[in-house]
Amino acid sequence: MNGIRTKLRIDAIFKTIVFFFTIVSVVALAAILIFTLLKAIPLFQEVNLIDFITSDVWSPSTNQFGIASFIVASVLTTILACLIGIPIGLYTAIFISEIAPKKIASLVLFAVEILASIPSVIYGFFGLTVMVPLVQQLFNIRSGTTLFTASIILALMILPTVVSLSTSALKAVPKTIDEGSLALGATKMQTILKTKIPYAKSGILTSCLLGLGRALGETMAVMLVAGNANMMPQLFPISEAYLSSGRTLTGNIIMELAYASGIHEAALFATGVVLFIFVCIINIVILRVKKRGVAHS
Amino acid sequence: MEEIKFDVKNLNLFYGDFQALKNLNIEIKANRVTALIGPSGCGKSTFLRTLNRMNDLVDGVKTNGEIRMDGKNILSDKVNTIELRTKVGMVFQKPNPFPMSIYDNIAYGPRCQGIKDKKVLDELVESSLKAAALWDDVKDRLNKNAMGMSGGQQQRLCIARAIAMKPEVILMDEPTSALDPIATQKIEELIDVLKKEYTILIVTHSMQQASRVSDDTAFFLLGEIVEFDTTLNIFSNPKNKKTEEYITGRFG
Ligand SMILES: Nc1ncnc2c1ncn2[C@@H]1O[C@H](COP(=O)(O)OP(=O)(O)OP(=O)(O)O)[C@@H](O)[C@H]1O
Ligand SMILES: [Mg+2]
Repeated sequence: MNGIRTKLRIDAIFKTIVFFFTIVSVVALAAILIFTLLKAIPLFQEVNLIDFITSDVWSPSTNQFGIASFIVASVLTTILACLIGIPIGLYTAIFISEIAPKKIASLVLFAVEILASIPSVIYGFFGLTVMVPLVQQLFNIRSGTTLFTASIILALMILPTVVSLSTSALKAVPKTIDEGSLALGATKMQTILKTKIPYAKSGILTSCLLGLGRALGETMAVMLVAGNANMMPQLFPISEAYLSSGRTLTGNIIMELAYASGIHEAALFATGVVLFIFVCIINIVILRVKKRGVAHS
Repeated sequence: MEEIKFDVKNLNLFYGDFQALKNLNIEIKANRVTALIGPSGCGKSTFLRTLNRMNDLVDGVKTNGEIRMDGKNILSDKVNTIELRTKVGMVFQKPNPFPMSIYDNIAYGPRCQGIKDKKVLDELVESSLKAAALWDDVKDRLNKNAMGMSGGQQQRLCIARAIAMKPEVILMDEPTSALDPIATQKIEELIDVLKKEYTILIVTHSMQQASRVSDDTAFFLLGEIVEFDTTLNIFSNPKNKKTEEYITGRFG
């Protein structure tokens, strides 16, 4: 009797602690959100939201605040980073979980985890000293600080997310599924492509979306290599856009926050709100994908 | 005179240092149902998986001896395991449909062999599902995900999937142990029909099942085949004392 009562009490204490920390994190998130929103409000007394998003003139000195060019730069770098990083990441995940001998697999996984723990300023530094001169020479352009360079660095940075999460998604596929496929005379490659990947689909998709979120939100490294020019990239041909300097949403905030005040400051917070909305959309999609994954298994 | 499908000679199998199969000698006859019985861990599944070389997937497995299938040693390095597995199908203990439509599950094996013709696949899907007594249940929802079927239906789907390869042999490792009695009965009836066309080996822990569905029975103990005879003889007149003890439930 006594034992059960003690156990119930421990249970209750544990629940209270868990509840407390949950509240702390929820409150922290809410506080950040509310603070950012409040700080952004003054801007919308001057500029309406549509203009803010669609205008590409950002000129704090004349009170003109449009972030279209930053949105374009963010979207361009994120897309290219994903186009490069996701396939490489997926192939690496398949290599690690399916093909490589155990020792090599754990070595590669170890390397990937190291990649994940490098601070972003180091990526930026590497980009600045290695990638920027390389891009400059390769394309014979005036400056190597371009959206293309930023995309390459971002591709590198999202690799660990894509690789490690996709690897665990693939490893979580039950052995009976592999065996079912192989027993039907499928080759190892057919088994991976036609059964394991579909089975791990939601986990793999989630890893890609998280990678995408990381690319969108990355600040320091991008700022160091993108050039941060405050103008709309020329979109046609698209290569022109990538080979020009550009400023992303995150780059815009970090470049000007230190000295901004008044409505200028509000505009930077509003930039943050837009970024936040993008991230929210990505997370909602992730939740959807996960739910679907649970439903089918 | 019955045709011999598998002629196993001096078969030994090691998992690392552990010998799981000890000098097995057995002749499996074509178009009959052979039951493999014996206590847990005696090597029934291991033996079954040598017949389609599924043990190749396990690290550190060593096999020696011979398994002649229609005269050809399938343990030889030269054997194409992919081709072997198209001839020797397998049904597992737990139904393991792929997370795709019923149609795609059945078409999976043929497609892996390069069959793309829609008409050929349609026919294969229909005939395989009919052969597995599943056609009437699912003909209106071939495009639904197979994960939504009942356990018994899933297992019959797995049988249909194996049949779609037009195999010569079907290996079944405790195919009904995850199913309720009614689903079990359906599978047993199915086995009875299928043996006309296929050679079937079935691992089972149920003595009743072995006596109901099989023509021959092999009794395994600690990696050895203690006794192999017609099911009738094994159950009515076992020669070995261990066999008798096992089938009467005194141990195991
Ligand atoms: N992958 C493996 N690695 C090492 N040992 C194994 C492996 N698979 C099976 N064994 C061992 O080989 C022996 C035979 O196993 P097997 O699975 O063939 O038995 P079984 O007769 O099918 O048993 P059950 O009725 O429980 O399914 C057991 O002692 C088991 O522990
Ligand atoms: Mg077994």
